[in-house]
Amino acid sequence: MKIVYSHLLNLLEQQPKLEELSELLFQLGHEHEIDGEVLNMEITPNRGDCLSLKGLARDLNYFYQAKELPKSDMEMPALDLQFDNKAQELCPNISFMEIEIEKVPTKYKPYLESYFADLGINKNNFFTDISNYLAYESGQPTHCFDQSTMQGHFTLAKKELKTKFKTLLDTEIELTDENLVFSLDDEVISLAGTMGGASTACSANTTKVLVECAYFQPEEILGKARKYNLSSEAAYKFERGADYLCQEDVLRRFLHIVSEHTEIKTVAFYSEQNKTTLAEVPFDPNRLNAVVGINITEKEQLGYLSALGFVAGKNMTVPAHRSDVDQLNDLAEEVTRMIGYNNIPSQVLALPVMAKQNKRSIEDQVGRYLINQGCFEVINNPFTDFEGKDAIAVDNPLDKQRAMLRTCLMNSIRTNIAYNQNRQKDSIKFFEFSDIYKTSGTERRFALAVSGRVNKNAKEFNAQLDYGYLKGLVNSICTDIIKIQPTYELADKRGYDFYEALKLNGSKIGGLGKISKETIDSKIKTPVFACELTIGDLEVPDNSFIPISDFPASYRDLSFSLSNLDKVGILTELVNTTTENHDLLTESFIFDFFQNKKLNLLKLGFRFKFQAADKSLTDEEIDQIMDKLISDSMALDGISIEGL
Amino acid sequence: MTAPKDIFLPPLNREIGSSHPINQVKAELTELLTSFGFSVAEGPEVETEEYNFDKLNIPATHPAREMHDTFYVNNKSQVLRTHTSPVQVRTMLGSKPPIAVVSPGKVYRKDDDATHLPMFHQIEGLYVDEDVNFAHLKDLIYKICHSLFGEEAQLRFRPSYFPFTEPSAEVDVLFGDKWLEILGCGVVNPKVLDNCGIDPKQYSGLAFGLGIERIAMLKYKVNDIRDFYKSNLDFLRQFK
Repeated sequence: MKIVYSHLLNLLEQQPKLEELSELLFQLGHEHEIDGEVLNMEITPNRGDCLSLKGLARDLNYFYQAKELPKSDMEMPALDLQFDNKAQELCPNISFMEIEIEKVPTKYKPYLESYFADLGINKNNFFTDISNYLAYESGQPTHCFDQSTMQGHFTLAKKELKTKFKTLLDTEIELTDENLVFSLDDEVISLAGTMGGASTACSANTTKVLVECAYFQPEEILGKARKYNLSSEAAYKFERGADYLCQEDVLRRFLHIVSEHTEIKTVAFYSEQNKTTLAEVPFDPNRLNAVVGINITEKEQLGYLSALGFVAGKNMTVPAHRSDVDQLNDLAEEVTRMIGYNNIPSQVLALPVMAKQNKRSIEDQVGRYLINQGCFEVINNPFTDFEGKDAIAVDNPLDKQRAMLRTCLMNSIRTNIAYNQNRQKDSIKFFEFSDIYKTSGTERRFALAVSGRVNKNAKEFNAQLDYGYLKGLVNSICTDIIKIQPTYELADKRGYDFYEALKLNGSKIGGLGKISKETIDSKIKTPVFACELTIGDLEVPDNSFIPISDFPASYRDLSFSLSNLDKVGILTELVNTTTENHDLLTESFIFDFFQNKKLNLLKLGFRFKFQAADKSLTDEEIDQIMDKLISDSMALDGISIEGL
Repeated sequence: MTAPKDIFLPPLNREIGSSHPINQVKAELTELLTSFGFSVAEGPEVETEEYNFDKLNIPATHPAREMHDTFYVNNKSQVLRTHTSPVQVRTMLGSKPPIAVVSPGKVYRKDDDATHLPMFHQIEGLYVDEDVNFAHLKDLIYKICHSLFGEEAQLRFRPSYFPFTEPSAEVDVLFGDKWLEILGCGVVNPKVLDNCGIDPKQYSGLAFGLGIERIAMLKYKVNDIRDFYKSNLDFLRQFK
């Protein structure tokens, strides 16, 4: 909302400088930008009462004393209006004033002229111009019907409609569903509280007008202007709550402005007032102080509140324009605004010491590990076009491409890879942690993808990130962080050239594989290897100290010949099981891998570390374990040890 | 003395990666707030209207509940949470004061332009106990802002409006000659406490919320919020 500094001064007894006024408006919560003399106000949605000069002047009253603008005290005989209000719940208070003037004025008073000139607003016709000005000045929308067009049964009712309606701005809209409308017989002449119609609008020749001034329940007006794509200042004000008792005052002000411009032939007034009781809020000065953390007297509090129009009694009576105030905390905010939030001294806050859970987060641990391996974390939004029958549909999506919630992370990761491959990035290592959403529930997922060069250094520049690299990362996460040895099982999965399901303690939590190139929107042929796991149930076990052995360790190396690659997994599983089952065998790992396809040679070298906590081990003790391992491995098809 | 040959070998640089800059800021803020005594609480992103709106004193007629502001899912039976405040609701419903929690996470609004994204991150804090007041809130906000922007940072508290706090404030920090809005906060609306099973006659609370992207943009001088979510390696590499 734009207001002009000098226009606001017309409603204030004291005349603050612009900078001082600006600072005070900020103190009161009325954010704004200044452009010359124009203040572009951002009024918070609860303060519909401040959407006018009068409203702001009221809020500034304590500091600069608000002025009452002159109103007509002309006697207004009763208007013989055949009006049927069939929506008293939605429009409890409504008044009409019929004015007939001698002739339409050709010149406006300076204050009215400057409203149009200073704000760059186009004039329309005499009565509509006053109505528009009055909304700016008082905050209360009024609507002007050309009385000569008002023939028929005049009603206000909420109706189920499907009809065309031409607004006073000459736009034609189709009214649908239920709408609160003014009608003459069956013809809709105004979308109540939002916009009048063309058929009864005033023109430059209108000399007899019926001015409507009403209070509409905000929820009835809410969303109507947006629904019909109308720009309606009236709706904006009604949505935020208008003064429900101001109708006669506003119409008398209207009449005064008319009388300043032309001779009035006749005037008559009609009013229905069903909502007249002012709201009350229990008031307790001590509790008010306690909410804010101040210690001011009741007299000081009342000084602030009465300047804002509140009336102290047994309870605090709330003025009709303050629909936002209904409890003590609201009054506390009013007092705090008047003092200035910045002027309230802070009080030291010491939070009570409470027991904290210091569980190590799997995401922190895995993230840290992957970052050290050169991986970058990405965050993707959850919207996608289609993710299968278990996907959750967004009822009001931004567009068709974002109409569902993703049920896996991998499609987003594919997009991330393609985005970077298409920008000539030749070494990509991405990971993401995120929830995914299904009709069956939410799952916490982890995804990892690698593609391209291993590293940018002289040794690893020409080495390519491959499945072994990915599996190594995943294996280390399982064994070193989650502390569970994973098992793998070959499986089919759409979108992958090959895929292994990953199990921890026998439960499948996801898998890893080589992504099918055709599922990545990039011309680069570099293979992409990726993994996605459900991690919601996984925990990082607490570390517990095991005393370090001072006794010497012994090492044994063993080289196995394998008939083909699929024996690697079988042999590794055997070694892992053996290691887990023997306390003296403290570590085992593959230290050598040799493959010569021409000679059909495949060798795998394992190193085994033996150590006891309480003694030096004998060869016999070690041999006993090694012999069992050797015999078990030899029993496996396609695995042999040279020389045995 | 002749230098050994190995000394002249080229170094084998191995690039380290990084967590996402938004998650870095989220972690920094979480660490800061937990150091003040807050615990971390989390909750679902697909929420009920009851927790996202009703219990937070956001009535059915509030503009935020219209289809153009909020994503509705599952045949309008649920929403994508528009703020992390439902986590506070869940916490209050599930525990007794004193309560001191922060809830970081993703939130969703139906916006998509140069300054707004349909998904972004917030971190909100809640403290409920006996005799908690606005002056305490100011102390906490000063501590947070001074920790984030330095002890010399100048703050401005402005009255604002949030249905779940009363009084409500927005806090600006002075950068050069410009005030920039940093966070929203307020005394927890007694209606919210009541909705969450906490007696507002005995207890009061304070709450605050920050937009993580906003802090990250200020910290890293990123001008376009969309850069955070393109997953461009050239962008991500700058936050090691």
